[in-house]
Amino acid sequence: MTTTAQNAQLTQAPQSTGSLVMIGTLGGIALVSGLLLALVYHGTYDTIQRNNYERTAEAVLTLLPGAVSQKMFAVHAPGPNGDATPQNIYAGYDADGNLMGVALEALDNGGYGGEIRLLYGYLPDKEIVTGMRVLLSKETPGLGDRIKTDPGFQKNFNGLDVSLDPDTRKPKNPISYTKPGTDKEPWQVEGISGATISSQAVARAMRNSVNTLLPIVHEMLDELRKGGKS
Amino acid sequence: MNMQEKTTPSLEVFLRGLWQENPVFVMLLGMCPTLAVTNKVVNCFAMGLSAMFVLVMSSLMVSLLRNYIPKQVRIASYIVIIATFVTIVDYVIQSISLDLYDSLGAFIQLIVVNCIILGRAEAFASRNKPAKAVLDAVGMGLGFTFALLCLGVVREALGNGTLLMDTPYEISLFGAAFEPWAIMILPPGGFFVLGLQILFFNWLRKKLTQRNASAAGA
Repeated sequence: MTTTAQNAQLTQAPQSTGSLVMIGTLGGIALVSGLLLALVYHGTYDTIQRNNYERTAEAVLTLLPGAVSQKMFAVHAPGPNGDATPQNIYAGYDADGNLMGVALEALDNGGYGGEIRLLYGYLPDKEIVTGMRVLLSKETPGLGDRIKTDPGFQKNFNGLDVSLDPDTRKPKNPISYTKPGTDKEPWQVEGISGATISSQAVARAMRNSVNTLLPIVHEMLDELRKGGKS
Repeated sequence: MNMQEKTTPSLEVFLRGLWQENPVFVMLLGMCPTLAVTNKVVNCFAMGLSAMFVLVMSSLMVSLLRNYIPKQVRIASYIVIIATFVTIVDYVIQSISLDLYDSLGAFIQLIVVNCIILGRAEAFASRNKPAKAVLDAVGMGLGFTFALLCLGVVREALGNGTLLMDTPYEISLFGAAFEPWAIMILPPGGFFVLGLQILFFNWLRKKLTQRNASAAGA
């Protein structure tokens, strides 16, 4: 295209296009775009929901040994600023409908890449955690990302002691973080070297979730147990 | 149209984005996703192909509508068109894999303001026929993907000792004794590799031009 042609277009344009034409064009484009997006949203909605559901469902069943089916309970737990926030409790049952344990959500916004969301298994009878699975993280691949896979770090959560004080219904020893290579107590989470911020965020998410959700789990234990029989 | 002298305009248009005017190595456009997502090879594929899809579709639309969009609202119209296709890509990636979606983070949504796409819409698609605009977009898209992969392969290989990590096709490159250079995965590694590769590709392009010139002169 030559520059003279463009200049001619530019000088002509202001006279020949009124506001109505502009509004019409932009409105038309926005309308078509809206229609297209509605179609795509509708088309992908089911798959996206299924992906989300499968990710959680798979994690629940792997976290609770012996569980073959799961049921979700919606509860309200005190959030970071004290208001009641909706939370999900996933109860896992064996083939006969006996409660094998529950999987609980935990999240923290202080990861290296922002939000970290995870799920951990909890056995109400033994008052221990069975394991932890990261559901969502934006941590650096190969570094913070290792909270998902590092076997040493994952081992922290197998048998993590979260026993509650029978009177106050608060954890006897809140979960805390220790540096890699130090001696750890059964309620402590030992970090990964090179992924300190991410491991600290996981420990913090676990501590907050344990402090708020475990008392609720124990309160509704009967309801959770009945859930498998119905 | 002096383009027609040497080769057909279509091939010229196509190769320009891939090599002579590569968006990353020559025009230095789209640096933000380039530095941010190239720490994993699979991210480079996803980002490159997503950007290419958006580029091709929006170039096509802009070119088809080029005679109907008033000059005064053209940028707004381009942004609406681009944003539509970006949102489509966003939904599609979520439905393909949530893990991939998480690792690309906000950079999929940020394709809307990727200068490569708006730049091609304004500088090329709005002035050319659809076929040519699409060809240009494919060339630019492939050029962008190629550049991302150039960075991603080096960063992942040195930073983690693998290629295609987090996929079923993961390849381990250096064996168990390899100590990964964590810095390569981190943001500084992105700058190092990008700088060195721009240096290399500029040198290579100069060499090739010199050789072509001397060949033509002889």
